[in-house]
Amino acid sequence: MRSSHDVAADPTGAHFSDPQLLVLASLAEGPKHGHAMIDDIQQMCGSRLGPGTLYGAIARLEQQGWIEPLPAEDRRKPYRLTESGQRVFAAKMQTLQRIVSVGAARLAWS
Amino acid sequence: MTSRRHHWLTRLYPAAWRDRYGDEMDALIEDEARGWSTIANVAKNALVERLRPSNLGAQTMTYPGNVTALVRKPSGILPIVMSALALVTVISAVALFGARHEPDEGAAAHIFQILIAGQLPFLAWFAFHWLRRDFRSALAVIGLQIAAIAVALFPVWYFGL
Repeated sequence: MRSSHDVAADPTGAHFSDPQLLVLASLAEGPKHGHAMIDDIQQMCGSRLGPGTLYGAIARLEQQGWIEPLPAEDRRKPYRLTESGQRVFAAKMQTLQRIVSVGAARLAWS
Repeated sequence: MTSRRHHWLTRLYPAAWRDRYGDEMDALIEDEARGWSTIANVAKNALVERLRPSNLGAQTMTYPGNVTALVRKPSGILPIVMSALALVTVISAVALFGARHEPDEGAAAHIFQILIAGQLPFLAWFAFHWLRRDFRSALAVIGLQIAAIAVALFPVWYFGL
């Protein structure tokens, strides 16, 4: 299992290290609390974010107004995407798709 | 990991950040108890939050949040005042008795030593109390306190007293 802070130990170089985008991607499926986000992100890309990394991303996303908290369940507080968060996530996905298609095409040429 | 250690970990963050995210992060660390990697990850991110706090933390800041407010705290101003008095003491002694080293230290030397050594507990208390609440402002005030000590010690070094 790989965590977000041992990227250097990843011999494939396939590690994806943008916690904020990973949180947006996880919440695009629906509201989740921290532990559920970490599990979902691990299933999505194989990286397991540490609690500090996850909450660093959550704080900055919330500050930008891209995610918002829902009423707490016990001590666990779920978050969901705001409308502007959905727009930002969609825009980022389009950019990533362009990069992926161009990158894949260039790989095929080489 | 024990719940006591969870509490210790979230206390590494600034107070305002803890007020907002402390409870839910404690719960997450409990779920994610993965030993040293969790500790290292939380410690690293707490340091980042202290050095480059999120605006959310600044908006909910309940502590002074600036150097001027902190330097007015008793443990902030006392060391600086004591250094100033030490400087006045040594300059007065040089003005009255001349700049010469006496094997038998006089009253002025003892007062100087008491003023410099006596401020160390205040300095330690200030660092302990304020660094974890308002890291950057506290660091600036500690810098001022250390500079004041250096200024007070300068004549002693310069005149070889």
